[in-house]
Amino acid sequence: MIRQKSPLALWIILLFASTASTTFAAKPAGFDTSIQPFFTTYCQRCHDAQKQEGKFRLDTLPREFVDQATAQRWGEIVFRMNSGEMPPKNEPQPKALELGAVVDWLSTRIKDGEAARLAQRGPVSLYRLSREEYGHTIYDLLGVYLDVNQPGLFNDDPRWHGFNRIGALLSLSPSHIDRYFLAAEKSFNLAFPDQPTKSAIVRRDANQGHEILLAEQKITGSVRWQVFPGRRENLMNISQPGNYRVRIQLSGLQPPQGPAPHLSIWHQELKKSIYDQDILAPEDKPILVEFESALSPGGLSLINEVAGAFKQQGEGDHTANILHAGGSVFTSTRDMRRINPTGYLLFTDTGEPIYPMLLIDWIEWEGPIITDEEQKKRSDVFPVNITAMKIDPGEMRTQLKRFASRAWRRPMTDAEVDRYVTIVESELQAGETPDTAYRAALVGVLTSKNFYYLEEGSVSQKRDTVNDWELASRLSYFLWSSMPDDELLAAAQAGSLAHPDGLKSQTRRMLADSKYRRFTESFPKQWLQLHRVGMFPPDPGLYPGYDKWLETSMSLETLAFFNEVDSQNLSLREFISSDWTMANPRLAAHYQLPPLATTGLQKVKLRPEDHRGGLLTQAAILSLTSDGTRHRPVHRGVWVSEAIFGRTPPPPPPNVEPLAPTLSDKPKATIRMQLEAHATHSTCASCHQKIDPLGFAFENFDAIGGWRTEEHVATGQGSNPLVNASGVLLQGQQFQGPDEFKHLLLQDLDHFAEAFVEQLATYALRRVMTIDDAPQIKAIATASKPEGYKLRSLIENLILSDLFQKR
Amino acid sequence: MRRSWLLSIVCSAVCCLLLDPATAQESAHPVPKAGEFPPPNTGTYLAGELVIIDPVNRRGGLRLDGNEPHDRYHSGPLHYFAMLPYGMLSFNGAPAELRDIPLGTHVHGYFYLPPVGEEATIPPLPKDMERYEIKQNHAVSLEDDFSFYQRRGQSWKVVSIDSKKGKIHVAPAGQMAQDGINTPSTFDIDDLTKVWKGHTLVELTDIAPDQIVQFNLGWSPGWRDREFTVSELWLDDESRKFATDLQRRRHVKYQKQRWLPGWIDSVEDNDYGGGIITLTLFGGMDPSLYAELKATQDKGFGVAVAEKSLRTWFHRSDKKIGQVIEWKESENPPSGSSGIQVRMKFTELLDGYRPGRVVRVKCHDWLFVTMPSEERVKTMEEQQRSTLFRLP
Repeated sequence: MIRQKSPLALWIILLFASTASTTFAAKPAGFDTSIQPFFTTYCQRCHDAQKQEGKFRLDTLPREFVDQATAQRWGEIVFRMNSGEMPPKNEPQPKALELGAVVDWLSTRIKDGEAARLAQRGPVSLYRLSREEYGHTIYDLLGVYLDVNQPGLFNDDPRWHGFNRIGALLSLSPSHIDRYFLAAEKSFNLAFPDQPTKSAIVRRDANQGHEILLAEQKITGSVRWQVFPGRRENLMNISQPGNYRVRIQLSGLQPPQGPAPHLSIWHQELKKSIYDQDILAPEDKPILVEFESALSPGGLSLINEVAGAFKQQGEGDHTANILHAGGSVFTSTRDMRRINPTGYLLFTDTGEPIYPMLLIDWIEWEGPIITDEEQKKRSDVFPVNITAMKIDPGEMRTQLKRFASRAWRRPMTDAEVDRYVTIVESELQAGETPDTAYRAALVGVLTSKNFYYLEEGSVSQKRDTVNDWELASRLSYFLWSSMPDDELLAAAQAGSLAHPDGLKSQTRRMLADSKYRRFTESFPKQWLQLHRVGMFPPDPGLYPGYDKWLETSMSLETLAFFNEVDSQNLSLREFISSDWTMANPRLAAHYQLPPLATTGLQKVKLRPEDHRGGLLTQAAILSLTSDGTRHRPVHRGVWVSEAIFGRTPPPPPPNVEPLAPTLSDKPKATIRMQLEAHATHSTCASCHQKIDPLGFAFENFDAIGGWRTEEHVATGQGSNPLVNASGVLLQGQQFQGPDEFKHLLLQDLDHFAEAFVEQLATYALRRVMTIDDAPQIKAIATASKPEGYKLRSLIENLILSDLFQKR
Repeated sequence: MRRSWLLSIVCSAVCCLLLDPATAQESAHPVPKAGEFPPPNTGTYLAGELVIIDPVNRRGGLRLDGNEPHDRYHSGPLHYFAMLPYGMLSFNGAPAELRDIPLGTHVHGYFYLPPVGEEATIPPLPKDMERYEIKQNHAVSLEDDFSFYQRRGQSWKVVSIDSKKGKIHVAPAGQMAQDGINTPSTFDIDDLTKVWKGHTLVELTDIAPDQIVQFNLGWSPGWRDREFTVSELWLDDESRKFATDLQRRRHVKYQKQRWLPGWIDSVEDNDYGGGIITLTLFGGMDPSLYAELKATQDKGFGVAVAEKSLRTWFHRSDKKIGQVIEWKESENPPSGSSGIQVRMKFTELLDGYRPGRVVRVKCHDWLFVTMPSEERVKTMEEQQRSTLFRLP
């Protein structure tokens, strides 16, 4: 049965008729019918066989876009037309829509060509592990936490529209080799340290050292660290890397008109927070916070991270610091005798906090902790009978093969074993101890391309599908961002993955494994480009309430939202619109939701007047498309186009003037008003008509995702103008605000489902999807429709599809 | 010679017999409360020679006039005292600090029992001296003779001077002071007495009968019999104005560097750290200082936390600046108060901005000065130490 196209579908097709490349765009019109007449009318009089202006002939330029050199020539043509350089001013000029259509058509072909190049596969395809995957793989292989984000270890991986696992982009340079060598050595040093790892418990108590003073002053109770907003207590120091269990006893007091206090534990060397949590606990009823974390050596500070508490700068530091200087000691709000009176007033006379306050009694950390499971991973790496003097050759060979086969995710061949045995032997001959010699071979295993590359295909045999071992890796790196476990390798060995039942059974087992959490964190981050959240920190003058915790909470909401849709196996429609979200107190305050009684992320029911629900109105999404001072409707439109429709609009021409601030003698104007004036320009109008409505739908949200009805404009005359969040799509559908826009999207979920499958497949197959993949993508979406596009169904259908096994 | 000290003790005793003990204590010897100025005319009058001072903490010791009780002049201790935060000092007819009054100057003061919680500020006398103890040891005012009598409208008419015998006979003129000496008296005088005429020091021989003079007194060998020596004498108005003006200038400079003291009456509307405070400026300052504050109130005032001794911590850095919302003046303020109440809005409050706590207020136009170390309170230990007067 042929499905009737909905109005929105038609609009989407129209929108991307010239820009879309793969899945659900209509077949592009041909060059001869759409483009050649334009060239004939406006270009070829000067660029043909007779008159080769600029030594350039358009008539002989190949009409194809996959070849990079040719694509670059076409790119230059688009550039010159877009910038208004061509046709020259003294020649006949095309109409804006004519020019726009040609630029769109060519831009789309260039994009298609780029996608095809990125997706090109030879007999053997190599996909380098991202550094995130490298870290997970090392943990699953050796049971050690290698902090791949620590400065100097690995570079950030290049991204393609948010995805950082695209094989064609993950190239290898000599510096990479050096870093892999260092990382391998580091991993083995962590797993097999020279001195046995000693776990210890260290405790720091605020009262320690104050006992005599308290007795002398007849002060009852114990001293507590008074951590006011912005206060940094440098309390922890980690000397051995590893996993640590941290316990903190503390109270968290929220002022009547302020946010909850927020505990952030900041790693001074890594310059990032390793733990974040709002704390609510009465002064007399402290709570115990306990968590485990992999920690690298360095100092850690406990910070009460709340913005906007102390308003005066400069002298404010003196006023804050003095609270902890000159013998000030805090025990209780009932006895403030030992508080320096020139410090900030932190409590009222009745003991009510004025600012969000943390009162810390003690902190304790235990570690490094090595679990039995982690110990087991390291148990069969070294030969049992290795001593300081000798190593059993047979056992060495067996152990090497076992280890490398796990690390390489496929059986190690005898020839390969020989090479690594040779390494051990040459080291022994050079006078190294058996332990050191064997360790050199192990480092060699991890610096082999077989470890840090996922290899698919073979030189000797042309294959269109992956083999069992490759499928096992594809599956585990998709769902676990790491190597297959023993059971999955056994299934590959047994050949059961080749059967749908076997594959399905393994998939379900893997979805139930705790390692699947890596997917629910990593995929939405990449798909939604959450790495851009906080990339341009908002101007504190314009957004005084913005702080690091709000920024973190924004991303946490989106990730928790995805996780909830996944764990409850909800429909994709929840991504577009929902009557719930995942919020913590900080975010609830930002969204002006009713205050939450407990800390932590929790599922929150939304009311229509909250104007939230789905991904598009989440603060993370709304802020990642903004800059530090203002929201960017065009960027929002582009983001919606890319993340929701899987389409990238053509880049703007190079000579676009930035929007200038409203002159002081002119009426105040919203960004939208300025853009609309901008889009009347002939070279801009054609694109902006398509992109802008997607962003205008969210005009009610400021640069950090706060709801508003008027736009704050710094310059100009009169009052701030009202927000206009209405729009008209190309097909003519009108909407008033984000809710109606989302409603329009929901009317045609099929196209979003296809775009989502395309994003999922890009992540899973580590390559850009091309027009050749479109039918299979559509088939996967269609297969998921009867169940209502449930997320887990889509994932399973992708894994069980031909596309997933296609090389 | 007067017997005011004895009289006050007798009066107190009579009052105590007539009233119930608690009421008697409250009415006859009120205990100052934080945030409240004492009722008018309730302090106990005491006079004596300023023998020791702790100028930084505004404390000192007086050798009281005469010898009562128990042969005090020969065997008893000094009367140790602390100035109340709003306690006012005068010297040569102008506002002063304790440091401005030379040791050996005869002064008049009004004293109260220690405020609640500050009973230990002046430590108790040793057991063998307890019988000399006068519990009213917190002063609301302290003035030299010049200031004390001039302010009450009383001056002295020279009756005669006998340079050879070293005696001057004087009689009170003008309005009679209620306390102090208000009868014809004879004082010692010698060539160490500074005699002022106009801006010049003159000789004893320039003193003549019928001249209207003011003087300051000091110790005399006949102290136990309430005899005094004239240490400094002003013969004419010009000389008195000159002395007053010199002291006034010194005082104004001192206050501009250390700011005007007052206390917090109330704190309201804690708006996530900000709030409105109402404060009352203490009295006894030169009127030009209040006028300058009033004239510049639109620029806001700096307010630093201070101790009861009026010492600040690091006032130039630890103050906060607030905007003045309201400036209110009242007629006939109680002793210790200037009658000026100011409401100020602060974006941030300090721990010491609490009702009853002492602050110092800076006019916008006064230059910032860093006080020397010994004047500043630097640690909590120092703050605690400074609450106790150390007996010599």
